[in-house]
Parts: sequence; C-alpha cells; structure tokens
Amino acid sequence: MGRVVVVHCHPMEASFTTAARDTAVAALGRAGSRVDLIDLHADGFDPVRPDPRMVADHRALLASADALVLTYPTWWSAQPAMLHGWVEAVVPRAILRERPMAGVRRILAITSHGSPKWLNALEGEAGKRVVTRFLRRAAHPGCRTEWVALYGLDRIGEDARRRHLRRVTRRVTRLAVMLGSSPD
Amino acid sequence: MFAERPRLSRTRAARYGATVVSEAGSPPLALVVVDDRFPGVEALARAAVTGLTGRWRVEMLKVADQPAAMTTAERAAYATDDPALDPVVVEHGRLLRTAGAVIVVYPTIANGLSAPVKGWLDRVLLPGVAFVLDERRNRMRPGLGHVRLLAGLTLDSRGPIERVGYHDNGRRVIARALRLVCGVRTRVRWIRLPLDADAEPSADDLSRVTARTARW
Repeated sequence: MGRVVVVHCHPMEASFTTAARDTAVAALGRAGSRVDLIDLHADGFDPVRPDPRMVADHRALLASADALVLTYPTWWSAQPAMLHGWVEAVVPRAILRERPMAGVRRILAITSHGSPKWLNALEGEAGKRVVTRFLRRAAHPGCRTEWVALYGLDRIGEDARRRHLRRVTRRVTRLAVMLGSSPD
Repeated sequence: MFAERPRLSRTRAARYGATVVSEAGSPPLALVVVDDRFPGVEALARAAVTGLTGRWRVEMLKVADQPAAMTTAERAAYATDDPALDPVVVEHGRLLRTAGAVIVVYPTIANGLSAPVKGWLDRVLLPGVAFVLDERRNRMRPGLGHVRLLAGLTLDSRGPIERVGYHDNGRRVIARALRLVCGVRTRVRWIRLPLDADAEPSADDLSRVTARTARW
C-alpha cells in the first residue's frame, strides 16, 4: 500500500482548489493508498514563525511517505505564502543534501492559475520550479514530478473545471497504481 | 460545487484608476519592503535606504510581523469591491498606489522569496491596487503603471551552477510577474550579496549597496 502525503493550502472550503483536493483524496482512497492530509489553514500553520512540534510532525510524515501531492492556487506566479512558509520550514535548504523525503518517488502538484498559460510562461512559472527543481532535490534521486495545472480559471466555464477534476482523478489514480496500491 | 472566481466591477476600477506619483516639489515615494526577521537583511535594507534618501522619499515597510497568510475573510473579500480588510493592508495599498519605486529586500529561501514578502504580495497586491479589469475587453490592466523602478535586494549564498540549475524564483516573481503589472518604462534593478540569510553583510558590502542605490 502506497503512503501519500497530501498538503492542501487554500483559506476557503468553498474553492476550486478544495474541490481538487477532495477529488484527489477520494481517488487515492478508492485506489487503496494510505493518505495523510495536511491542511495548512485548518491546522493553523504559521508560515513566518512555525510551531517546531508541527514542523517535526510534518517532517516525520514526509520521511515515511512514498509520494507527495500538493493542492494550492498559484498567486503571483508562485505558491501562496502559507505553502511557501511550509516549504521553508519543513524542507530547509540546509538539509536538502540529507534528502528529508528520501522515500518520495513522485511529487504531484495540482494547482490553478487565474491567468492564461502564455502569461504564466511570460512570468516564468516560479511556483512550478519550486516543485520540479527545489522539492525534487529533497526526494528520492529517481523522483519524478508531475504538474497538473488549470490555466485561465478566471475565464473558463463549469465544463472545463469538471474536465480538470476528471484529469486530477486520472493522474492521482495512476500515481496510486504506480505506488503499488491495490484498487478495490 | 465551488465558488466562482472574483470579478472586478467598473466602479472599483474607476475608484482606483487615478494615481499620484509625487506631491509637487517633493521627491517621489520609494517603498522598501523588507523581511526583517534577519538582521543581515535589515542591514541591507538600511544601506539601500541611505542610498535612496534624497532622490526618493523613502518609506520602509517591515513585513515580518504582519500575517503572511491570507485569511478566509480576506479571500472572500477578494471578490468584492472592497478587498482590503486589514487596516495595515489598506495603508500599504494606499502607499503602493502613490509609489514611484518598489524595492523588495529578502533572503533567498527555498530558491525564492521568503514567506513574509510573498505574503505581502498576496495580501496587498489586490484587485484595484495592482491591476484593474477592463470590462469592455474583459482583460486585466496593469495597475502599477506609475512605478518607475522595481528592484530586488537579496542575500543568496547559492553558487552560479545552483542558481542556473535551480533558478532564481524570487527574481522571477519580482522582475517578471510583478513587472508585468507595471508600466512599459519601469526599470528593474537587482543586487545579490552571496551570503546566507543569517549572515551579516560586511561594511564594504553595505557601502557598495549604498553607492549603487544612490544612482537609482
């Protein structure tokens, strides 16, 4: 059974990002993965001066995880400050060489952008690089990253959102199968 | 199933449409946004303030003691005509709408901006401050066209290979994402000191920073 840590970051329960999280968690559950959910806003995580006990708990979860799933909105081309503070605290650069997520073989980022893809490309997609370059260094040397992003959320309709959620289901199920989970 | 994305109203665009760069006879305002958790970063900001003073009227915004994460109420208000709830955010937004320069001083952590600085961007660069909606064309318009100088000062101890291989995400956010909501004539300047976030810059380093910022 694969063990997956899902880190969720959005202040509102009634949000598209939260819908994506629920979709991902449900798909992982159906596929037989063990899910540890970290909801940064619900847990009251302080991104500037984090509680050391909470940081230690999260590091312990990551140390024993097979995969990491991040669900967050992209604001100003990067992760929200809450998630950025979590990355700073849980995976500081000083311990990257020790690979604090050594068992993590897949990192899946599920995010949404208000602006279209071409504009994000122009902005440099800093948030994508935090996942694919920085976090990956803390994981298993053979770790692969997957980027499941919805662009242009401000303009698209309900159909496109539902298509994205179906895509989330497919990608997360594939992740669970890769980790060796046994579907029901 | 989930909340609709916010839409800007014409009234809000009109309300925030006019900006003033400087009062008659006084130098334009420069905002120095600093993550003051680290003494070395604060020293860097003070060196920049020394250099800027004279050509600019400088206001230093220390953001480490401000909440970095957007709250549920703030996110809900994002979709309304009055998205700023916190009086500090309102004041910083007011300053930003009149600033001629925005200088961000931070330690490079996790290859990017530090959390307090990113939090300041998330909470202060709201609709009506950083951008407005052109309803006729259904497009966002830059709201910081009056900003003439956008700069970053950072303590970043990564070597050149690491910086090329893993990218400088703080610089991408400031010099590209934030730059896109400024005007076509906005200049971007960058100073990097090759030091850890906890390190203290030397007097020589600080005097060089003062000399460079004095030319901005």
